[in-house]
Amino acid sequence: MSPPWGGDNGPPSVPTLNRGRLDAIERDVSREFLVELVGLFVTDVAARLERLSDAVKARQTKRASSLAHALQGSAASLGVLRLRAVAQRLEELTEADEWGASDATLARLIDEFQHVRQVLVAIGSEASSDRAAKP
Amino acid sequence: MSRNENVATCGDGVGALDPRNFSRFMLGQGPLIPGAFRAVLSDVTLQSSTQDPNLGILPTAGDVVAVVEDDPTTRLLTKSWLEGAGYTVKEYDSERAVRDEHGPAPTVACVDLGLGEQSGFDVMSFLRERDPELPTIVVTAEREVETAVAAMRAGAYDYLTKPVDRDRLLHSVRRACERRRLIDRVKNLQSELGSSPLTGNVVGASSAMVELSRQVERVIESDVAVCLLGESGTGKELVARAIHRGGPRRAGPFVAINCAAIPASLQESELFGHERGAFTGATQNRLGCFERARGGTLLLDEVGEMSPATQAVLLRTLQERTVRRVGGSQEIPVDVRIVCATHRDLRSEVDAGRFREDLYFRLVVYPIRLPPLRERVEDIPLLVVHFLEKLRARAPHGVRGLSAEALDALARHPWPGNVRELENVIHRSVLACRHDEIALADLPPDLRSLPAAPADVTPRESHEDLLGDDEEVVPLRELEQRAIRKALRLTRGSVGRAAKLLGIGRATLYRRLAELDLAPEAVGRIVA
Repeated sequence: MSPPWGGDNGPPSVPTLNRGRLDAIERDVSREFLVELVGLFVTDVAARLERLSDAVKARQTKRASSLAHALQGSAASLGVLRLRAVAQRLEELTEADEWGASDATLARLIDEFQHVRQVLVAIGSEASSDRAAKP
Repeated sequence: MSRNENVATCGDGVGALDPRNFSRFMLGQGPLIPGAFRAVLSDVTLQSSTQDPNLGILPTAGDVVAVVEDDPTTRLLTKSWLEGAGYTVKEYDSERAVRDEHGPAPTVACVDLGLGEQSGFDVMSFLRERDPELPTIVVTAEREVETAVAAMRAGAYDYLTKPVDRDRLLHSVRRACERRRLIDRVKNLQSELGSSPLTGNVVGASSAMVELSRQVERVIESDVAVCLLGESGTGKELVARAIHRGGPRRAGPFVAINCAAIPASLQESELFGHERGAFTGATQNRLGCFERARGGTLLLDEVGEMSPATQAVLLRTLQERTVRRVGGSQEIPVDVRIVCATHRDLRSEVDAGRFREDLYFRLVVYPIRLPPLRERVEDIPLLVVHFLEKLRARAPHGVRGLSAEALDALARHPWPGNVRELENVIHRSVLACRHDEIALADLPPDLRSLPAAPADVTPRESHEDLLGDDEEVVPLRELEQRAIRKALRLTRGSVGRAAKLLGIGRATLYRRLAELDLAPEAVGRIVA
């Protein structure tokens, strides 16, 4: 049985975010747009995670792997690397019907999402500080 | 309101700053209030993609990109990048949304192949069914390269892997739009040519070729003796074939003989045939071109190179409408349409005593001049597409077009070898090309080194001296002719730059050139 990425058994070598990707989006479009994009990402991933949890609980192989796959695309677009890596692992586990490991990895995915939110808040705060520091 | 305007308006909105609301939302403790986020981070300077020098040519107004992507984050990001580069974006989140669209077709489509539980391939098939020429860029996950390869085999124009890189996306879309415009242009020109007798035989839609088509149309139904006058490589044999195929003798044979390629001693035998034993080596009876072309058309190519003795026999044959084989005594009736062709000035040949005048009058009843390629450079893009397709039919290659710089270089070349030379250049360039587009570096060295037309001509220079002196009123038609002549002179015949100076479109300038009877010779050299 493949090891899950639940609890402390995560992918430690993968950073949470590719900050360069976020900076590039901000540079190419605008900071305002980046915040709008991040907001959309958080809303969308939260909803997807709920559907994904339901699919894993119901042991729906195709639906669960498809949702995990879609989540990776979304995370990749924004450079949210570790969330993407965990989602990829979950896709592999659900495809293999390894539901015990899938449950643990799903929990890891939800934790990672909360962590990502915190990191994005910090980035938003940086933006706020920049704004406040502007004469 | 554009994004730029948003930024300018919100830039001073210090009072709307609410980081607590932002944090609450990010932590899942409150709703998203987009307006508040805009105010939080509105002190931005936009870097418009259209100003990025690495992205090359700006999109043409009206280029519409369909983005088919079920992930809202990726869709919004893609849309923003494309809109920032000047494209109009239509977004679709599912196959159904695409199928429900009944508006005008997009210029290019970007399709995510992993559309949730649906297949991006279905969307691609549907879009291509609706518009077979639609360039489709497919987007796949990084580890699904096999899927991308399958999509390319199914006719996708290009593929991108997630996460999509902005510059790569814009580069691919720009090239796809250019390709689309080229295809559309070829189709428009082909439809303009419509049922021309040259369609399918000769490639070109310039005013010179339209005139050529008109002339061919006038003689196609009759048996009048046509003489095709043109430099080597201008397509004399193709036009002769077009006359044959379009006329009442199309069911008969088409036979071509190049008089310059046959020694004078053999010309009579080739044209009129010979009887067994007529000369050493004549071991059996042989039909000549006249007999082989019976009921059809005989092209006498390079007729100016015919020996005086053969000219005499040819004249008699045309008068009597019979042939007598070399070594034979029997007069054999032949019903053949004669088309002759030459790169020489036959009238001068007559004056110089090298060509029989009585034969000249027999052969040159209706002369048709074929324009050299340098007089119809606007046909070069069409010809390039034609040759790329022709080469692809012979041996598959991945070249889809050529760069703007390469096209400019082709337009500047004088083309002494005409269309045949262009075909040769395209063949060589395809062999040299390592990408899907022929670049300037892929062209033969002599084409790369031609000087560019000056780009720094200002409109002021081209407007001087057009109105005449104070007492003179120049008729508007004349004024327009003068302006066009001057613009072409100042731009060394560059139609694109001249049109820009004149404040009209390139197509309009071509049309006005034709309508104002400004033949290429009258305005000097023209380049596309």
